[in-house]
Amino acid sequence: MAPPGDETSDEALAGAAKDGDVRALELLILRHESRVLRVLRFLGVARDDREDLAQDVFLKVFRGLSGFRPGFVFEAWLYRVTVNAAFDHRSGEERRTRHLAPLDDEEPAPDRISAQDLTVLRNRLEAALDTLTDRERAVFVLKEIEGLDTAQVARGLGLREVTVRRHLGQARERLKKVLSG
Amino acid sequence: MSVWNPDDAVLDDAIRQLRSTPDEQLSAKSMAFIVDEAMAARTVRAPWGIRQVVRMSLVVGAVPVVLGALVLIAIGPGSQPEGADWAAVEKRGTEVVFTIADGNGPHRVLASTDAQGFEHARQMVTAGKEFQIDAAREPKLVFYKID
Repeated sequence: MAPPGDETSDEALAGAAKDGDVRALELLILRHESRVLRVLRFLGVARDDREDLAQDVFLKVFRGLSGFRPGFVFEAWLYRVTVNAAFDHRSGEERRTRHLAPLDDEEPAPDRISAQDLTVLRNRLEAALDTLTDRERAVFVLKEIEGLDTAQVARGLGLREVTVRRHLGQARERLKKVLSG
Repeated sequence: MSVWNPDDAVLDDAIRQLRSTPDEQLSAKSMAFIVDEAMAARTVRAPWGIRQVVRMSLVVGAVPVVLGALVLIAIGPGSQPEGADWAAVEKRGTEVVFTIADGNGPHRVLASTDAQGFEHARQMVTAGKEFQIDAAREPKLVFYKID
């Protein structure tokens, strides 16, 4: 089923919201809330803080609508605000340090990984994200977890594409080392 | 040229697991807060009906729908869930059709086989008075929660 609201682009909805259409505003929230909360999570925002921070993100985005010009990309703006909000939030706190669980000597080879091991692997990767720099982490989350292409990541973070590729490579190398023990 | 190494496979497995992490959603209270704040900041002007939409999200009813049966009208006299005055459901051929009285605004529809377990429910967003679901692709008993 294709929900009718999905036929309207983010930019058209943002334009309608800017012109006073509150329902367009609500649809934008519904369309992007999960994405914002997921990015906040993987950028290290604790569960108890995510909902409040997501509220701040959406309010900042909506307050900025009046400054948008034709050709703007709503999603890029949303990602940029979300990433900045996450890092501002974390910079105000003591950076959490997590101790990664050592690899079990009996851990099976990758081709025999069970569902339980995959859960462990997921948790270890989420913890390992703390070992990245803020920029590496943002690039990795947007590119590898959110599935954006390099150009979208670059637009969302205000970076050049070559810079995105460099940070992604560094992030992957660092994470591989952590995961391989 | 990139060289494959086993560590890439482990990392890619882990990434796939992270991607499958269940989605989180804002509470109805947060939705209402954002809309109210946006209105207060005069970033948008509230047309008629917005308050109704926000309130509606706070009085959600879980609508049980038996799929696979001949015809279903889950909302009817004597078995009305909360919110039944603004929503109706019926089966047309192989499709289940939901009609929302105030369907001009967006609504979030959560689908779950557990009436008490909507935390990890499938979610879709609709706008319009009617939306359809293909019954042939659903489990036999599904609970729908419409915000």
